[in-house]
Amino acid sequence: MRHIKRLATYLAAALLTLGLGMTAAAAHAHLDHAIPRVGSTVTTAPNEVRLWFSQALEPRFSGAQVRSSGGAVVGNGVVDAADPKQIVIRVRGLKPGKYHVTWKVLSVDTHRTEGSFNFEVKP
Amino acid sequence: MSRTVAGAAAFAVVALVLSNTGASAHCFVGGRFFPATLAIDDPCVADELSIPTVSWSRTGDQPSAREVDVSTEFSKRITESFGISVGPTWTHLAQPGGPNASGFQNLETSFKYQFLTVPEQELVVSAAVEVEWGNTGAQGVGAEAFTTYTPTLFIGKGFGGLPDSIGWARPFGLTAQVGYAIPSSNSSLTVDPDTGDVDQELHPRFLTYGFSLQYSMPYLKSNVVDLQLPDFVNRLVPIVEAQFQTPVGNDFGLNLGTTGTVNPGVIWVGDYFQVALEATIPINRASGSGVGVIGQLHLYLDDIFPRSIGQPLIGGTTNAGRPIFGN
Repeated sequence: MRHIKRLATYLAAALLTLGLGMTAAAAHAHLDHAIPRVGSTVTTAPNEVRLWFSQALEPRFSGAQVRSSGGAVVGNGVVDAADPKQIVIRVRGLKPGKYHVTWKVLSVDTHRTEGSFNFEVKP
Repeated sequence: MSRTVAGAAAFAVVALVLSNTGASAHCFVGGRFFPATLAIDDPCVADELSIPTVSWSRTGDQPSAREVDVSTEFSKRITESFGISVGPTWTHLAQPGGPNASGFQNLETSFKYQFLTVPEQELVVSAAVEVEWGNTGAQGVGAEAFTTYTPTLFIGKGFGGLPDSIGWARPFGLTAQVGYAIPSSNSSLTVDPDTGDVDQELHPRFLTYGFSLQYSMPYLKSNVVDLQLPDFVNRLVPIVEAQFQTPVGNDFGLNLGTTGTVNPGVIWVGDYFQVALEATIPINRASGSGVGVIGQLHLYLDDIFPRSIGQPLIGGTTNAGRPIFGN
């Protein structure tokens, strides 16, 4: 029983310590959602692809790109100056077809993450 | 009790000091995240703290004893690809008709090197030497008097490269490990206090191996299709783990067989921590009696303390560079 009390006390101390230290923390930046939606089919060609992340991004070290199914680059994206949690990729005049979005970002606390997804334009 | 409080306070102070002095990642490989698993170890080095892992089961003894284990594990990167971990486990055994026993198992440490990471293929491979230090635990709960060294190979592979026609299968990921447990001595002698007879107890060598098959809802949402499910569901990773031990040497006449468990469960992945719950199903009577349960709270120290204890001790400054996408 004495061991249990001792273990519980140490656990409580550790959790309290971690709680104190979490106040200024920021985590990896994950893709929260995108427009067009990940894996979606849209009937109207978008003028931009916008990505929302769970954390603020470092603009100099974050970016995204849209390619056609043939591999041609149709747009490169940068962090939105008005909202560091967003990346916007201008993609005017998309023809019907499948498109591949790739992103690589650095969150403000120096964590790197990356990912990719497809969407389709099908009028 | 006052000594315990003083010890805990000292621990808290040291942890707080460390958190404010020190260089980033749990198991991200390309677009894939492998969460920390319970029955086997994940294939990366990381700054993590499992506090606690609690399990309840019935042992494979005849008759079975009820066993409760409470453990912690602290993992720390020394460099970007080399890390150590240390994990004490406290065990309570309730034996039917007999005295209960409590105490710590032998202290376990691990020295792991992540030597291959291929983000494009969601592939990671690591090697480790795990050491269970003899005579550091209580023999009443089964801690051995000898040290065991287990060289172990870990692999993690995501299936994000599968074709569009089976895009639903891309969130699947597989991790596995295989090790060879080598005791520091081949046998030990015990003297029966009643008869004075001397018995020789062999220390077998074991092949230890296991795997996890996981389906990542976060990967489904971010990389395959956003089904606009509730956030709670989008953070789940349904998983099946399995771990086994097979005697492969120095086991003459002991009549030992393979033991292990299969653990179906689920992991909820947050930004700073994860919570896991699994059932533990023994594969045979020697592995246990009935279904047990294991749960874990696991903290991502690299996210909680990104500029201090969550960084490697050496070479901790992340050099990200401008992302390159080609033309």
